[in-house]
Amino acid sequence: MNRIGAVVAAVLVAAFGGGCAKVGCIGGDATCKVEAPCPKLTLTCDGASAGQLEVFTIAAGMPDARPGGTNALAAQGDVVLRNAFTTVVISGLGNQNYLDITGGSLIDLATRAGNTDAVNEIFPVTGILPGDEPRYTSLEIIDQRPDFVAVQLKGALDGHLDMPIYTRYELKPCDPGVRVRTEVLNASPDNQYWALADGFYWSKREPLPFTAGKGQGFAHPSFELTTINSAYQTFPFLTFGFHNGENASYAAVSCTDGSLTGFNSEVVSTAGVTPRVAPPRGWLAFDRFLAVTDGRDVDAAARVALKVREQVLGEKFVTLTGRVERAGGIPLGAERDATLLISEGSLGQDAEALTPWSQALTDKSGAFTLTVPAGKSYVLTVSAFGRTVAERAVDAPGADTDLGTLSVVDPTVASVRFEVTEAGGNNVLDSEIFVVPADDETKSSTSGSFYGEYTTCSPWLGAPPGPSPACNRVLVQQGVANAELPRGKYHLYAYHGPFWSLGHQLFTVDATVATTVTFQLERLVGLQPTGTLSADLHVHGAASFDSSIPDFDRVLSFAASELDVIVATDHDVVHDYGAIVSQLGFSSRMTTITGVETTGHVPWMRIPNYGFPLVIGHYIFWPLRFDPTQPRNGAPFDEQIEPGNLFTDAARRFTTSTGVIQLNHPWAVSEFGRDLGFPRAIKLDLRKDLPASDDGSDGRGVYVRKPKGAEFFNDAHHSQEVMNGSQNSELIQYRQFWFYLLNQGRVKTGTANSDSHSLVDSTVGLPRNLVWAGTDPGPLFDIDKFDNAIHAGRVLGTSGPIIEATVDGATGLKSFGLEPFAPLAGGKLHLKVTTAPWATVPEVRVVVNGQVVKTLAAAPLPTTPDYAFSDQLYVAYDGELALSELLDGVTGDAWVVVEAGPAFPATADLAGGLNGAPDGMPDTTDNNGDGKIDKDDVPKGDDYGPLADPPFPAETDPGFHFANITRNGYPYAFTNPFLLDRDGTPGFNGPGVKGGRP
Amino acid sequence: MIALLLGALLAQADAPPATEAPAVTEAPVSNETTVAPQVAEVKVEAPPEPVPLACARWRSPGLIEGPVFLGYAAADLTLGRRACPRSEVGVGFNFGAIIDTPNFYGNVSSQLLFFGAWAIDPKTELFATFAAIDWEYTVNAVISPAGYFSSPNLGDLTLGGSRQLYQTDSLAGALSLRVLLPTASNIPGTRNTGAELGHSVSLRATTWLEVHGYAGVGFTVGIGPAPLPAVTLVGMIGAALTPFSWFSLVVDLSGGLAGRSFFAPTAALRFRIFRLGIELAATRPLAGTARQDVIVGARLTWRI
Repeated sequence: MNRIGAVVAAVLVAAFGGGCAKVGCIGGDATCKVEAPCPKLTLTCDGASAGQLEVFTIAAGMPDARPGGTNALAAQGDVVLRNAFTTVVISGLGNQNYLDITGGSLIDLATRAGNTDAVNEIFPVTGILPGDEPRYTSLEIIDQRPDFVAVQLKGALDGHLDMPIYTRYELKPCDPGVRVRTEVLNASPDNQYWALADGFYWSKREPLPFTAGKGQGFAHPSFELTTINSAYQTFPFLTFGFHNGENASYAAVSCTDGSLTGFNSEVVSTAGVTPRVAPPRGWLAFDRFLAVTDGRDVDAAARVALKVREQVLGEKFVTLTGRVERAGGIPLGAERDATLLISEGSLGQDAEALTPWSQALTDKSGAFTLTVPAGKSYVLTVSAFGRTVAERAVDAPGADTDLGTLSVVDPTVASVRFEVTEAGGNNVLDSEIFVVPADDETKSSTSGSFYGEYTTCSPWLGAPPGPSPACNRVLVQQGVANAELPRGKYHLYAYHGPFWSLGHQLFTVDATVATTVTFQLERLVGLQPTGTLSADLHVHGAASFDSSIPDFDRVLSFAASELDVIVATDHDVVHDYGAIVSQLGFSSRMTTITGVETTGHVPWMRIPNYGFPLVIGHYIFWPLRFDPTQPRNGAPFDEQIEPGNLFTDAARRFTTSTGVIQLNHPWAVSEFGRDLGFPRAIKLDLRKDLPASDDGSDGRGVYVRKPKGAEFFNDAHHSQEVMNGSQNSELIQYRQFWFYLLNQGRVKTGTANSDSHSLVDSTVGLPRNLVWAGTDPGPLFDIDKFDNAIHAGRVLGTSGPIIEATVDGATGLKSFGLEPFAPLAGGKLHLKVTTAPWATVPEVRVVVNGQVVKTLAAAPLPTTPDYAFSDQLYVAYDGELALSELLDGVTGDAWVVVEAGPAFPATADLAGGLNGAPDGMPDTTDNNGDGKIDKDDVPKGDDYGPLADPPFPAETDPGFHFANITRNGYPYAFTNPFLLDRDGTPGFNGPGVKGGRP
Repeated sequence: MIALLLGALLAQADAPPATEAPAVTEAPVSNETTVAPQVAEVKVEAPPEPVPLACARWRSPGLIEGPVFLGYAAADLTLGRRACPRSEVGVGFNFGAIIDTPNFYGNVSSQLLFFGAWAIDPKTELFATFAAIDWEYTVNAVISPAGYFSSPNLGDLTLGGSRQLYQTDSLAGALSLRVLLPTASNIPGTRNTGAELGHSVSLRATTWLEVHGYAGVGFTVGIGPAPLPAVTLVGMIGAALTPFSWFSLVVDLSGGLAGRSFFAPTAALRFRIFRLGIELAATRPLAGTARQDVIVGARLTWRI
């Protein structure tokens, strides 16, 4: 026993007598301090600069505290760390943004000189689940000037109080960026697998991640939520930057290790320590430096990253300089003109074998700088118009080297001046030019992209998310625009909205010339109904986390599409285009409304019989007050609450009593595990009627219930998108859901919006709403009248066709809208459908209680040469239909919708509901062309889908030109319903899922 | 049939020595008729057998005895000890799995164990359990290590001793103390240690049934930045039914605290081949916060 006692004593001494050195806040008490990040990193500057260190919490009366740049978010309550070179903003507790549920994220990072923020949000994570991000409970400012200033946050992983996490953001006087250290402890009884990293939220059309790893650079393995594990890579540093002309380039680099580990995509990246199992009592720490520069390319940031690595790892780097010269003295400086990529490896190697280290743009003289590790062999490529045009070897530079002049011949380009005026006069028109290859050879020879990222375009005239020219589109301001077009044959289109003629020319570039192309457009008199406003109720600009089109181009695009009313609906932030509208001189004829599109990010909601947490999708609210002093510019916080609660908060923020709540893209496919539409998220079964209240059986109850603390039911939205986007990709499903609600007697105004995020993804105003509002855009605009018209359903959704429809009511002629009326016995539907000659429709359909009851073939198209580009209206149908014929077989109240467009393809409902059951929503087309729709049409591994887009029309097809400017969209229009009160009881009673039929 | 034959063979191989009946000596056969003198009958009685004590009532030395050697804590912490000392060496393998789909969590753990005991005297035993290799495979949603065997670690080691405090013909009880030595290397910068004091009881009224129990209290603590001291508690009761010398069925019911709380049945099948003992065991928590779907273990021991 004595021996046993000796062993026990030895253990106890070992346990309590030594070896318990603290590491920052790991196991620390309430007063603990996270260890200072990046202790090996020493950066110096002059004394005057060193004295400019400061830290403060943004309070009222600090209008300049928010950095510049379209992604800046700083608001009152956020904390600013600032030195002579850098501004860092950490969101205050309670100031949530995007994925951050409590505040404490890095939301802005800008240089003092450039003052441009391109960061959406950076925050530490230990994985990809909501429970892998911090829920901070304390924020402490550490002011140790003149040495450093810091913000320290303490909390725990969300929902895991036994997993404390601590983050310290520290700024020293000479830092061109911020030092960050995160410590996380597993005090739980279970092993955890943690990928401790910074999460970078790009969300598409924003900064692109670049990593210096083999086969990496801008290219990264694609993955889905379920395949992220295979996408993890290691890389020495991560850089990212805008491609919209804003100068901000960033780097993330470890201060302690030789590499970072993470995954990268255009939506989100992570970069951190090697993922590992953290057993109980295990802990991880991650030191990194987040650098910011004013550059427009990777190299500006890579230079800082390599400097950090030089200090931390002793790695040497060299600077390569040179000059690009293009034939014909063509100007340089833009990504389109010349961009250089330098990769470790040798000529002839596949891209997968090369290790890209940096990318650079030239200045206007063609000069460039590239920074790379010393002593390696490299391949230098030059790209122009999205295509590689030259490459050369650079052998093992041991010191800074001048590479001399790189002469680039291709491509041959023409400098084109576009002039667009109104026919018959000298009125210049703001408009949009579409450059579309006219033959396969041109399409092939001009197809390009920014190193494979964003959209591939033919021709590639600029980064698709950025300003004009973007992809193959050019904005025309005051009737003039200039662009360079590479060699090829093109359809050139000039567009000024669906109620104008479409300008068109076939144009060939075969030499380096300067030329002018003129268009004269004509208003198609009588097409747009008198008294209507053209309104796009769903538009994004650079304020959105997934858009980077500058406000100037965004507003100019409104004018190019001749919109009267635009609701600014940026994701999770209120935005106001008013200043740019004034700057461009549009105030007298254009009204922009400040609104928001709330965007659920954090899965949390559970529905019966379904195992995965959900988000509630996207809703639009307007009008809201744009207040840049407040978090999210005054938008409601939308995470981890049901729609009814969100509506309650938003309604309190409405600036009028007539505010509108709109359900967006109700059946859109989720992205990255985030649901985009509430009905689809909760797996609503459209084969069944909605219950009166939540019976707990499935998502239908969730849809109709009023959540605790809410003043609204979850289905209390006023309007719903039926058309979303210029391509109409999900029209069939949105339409089906709208019809379902009408059948349930839950009538909502159907709307049509572009949901445009750039000049490329969707053309703003295509589709749009024609609103009979009884007010005019500009200074006399009456928002209450406008909103009341939306509430009343006095809206025609259209991407071109105009449907004029009235019904004989018992008390007179009635227009469509959400006010029920009794039809006249023996009454008729009076119908006329008219379109522009370039947006014709083949048929008109009448839908009653969810079923097409009448299909009317459109009138034959005129055979006049170039009819599509004429100023002739096309009358597709003009006639009357007896209501008795339309309502045959229908009992009770009925609704009638008229639509015009191409016939829809045959569809089937194969699955989509709980446990793979059908859900009443068409989800699959005859994708294998065997004449039937079944599992053979579904990709292996899926239960259903897809709903295939129609084939691109042939050049002889009347829809060819419309498809060219909408990326294979088609003209379509729909009325809001006529609600026929036929059962003698007050109001409109929904006919149910059977549509009032046996 | 093969099993029956094997069972019969095993039963013969190491069956406990049966008390031999007095030999009957037959008289020599003779054709001669004689008259034996009448003598008084002499009755020789064997001296009375001493009543065996509880620890001697185990049916076969090679068969593993005592509570099931499978539980919810590091090495052998919180496992019930036997009350009867013995000397043995053994090797074992543990496998546990947590598949928590609603929380997108999974963990598979495996340990290769070496263990042994040395009965210093009939009342005292020293014992040790060493998880020589510890594999932990944890899944966080869809993120997981590249391979299951990618990162083996040195596991936990416990050393302990027990001292029998009392023993009657049917009941034995012992006090045990074991310490967790800081050998495990799975936590960078931190080593776990701890100790446990326990009392074990064995009730053996017959050779074919043992009822056993154990109660223990202890702690674990990390030697590192985050000591996070934690109390361990366990109470266990169970029974071993041993119909044959080569087979035993054990069912234990235990509850306590070992990081998480647990209340769990544990069952084991024990076999013997000569002096080689085999245990196949499984447990699954019925209540408490322990998340394991199942833990299974296998043991091979050689009785010395």
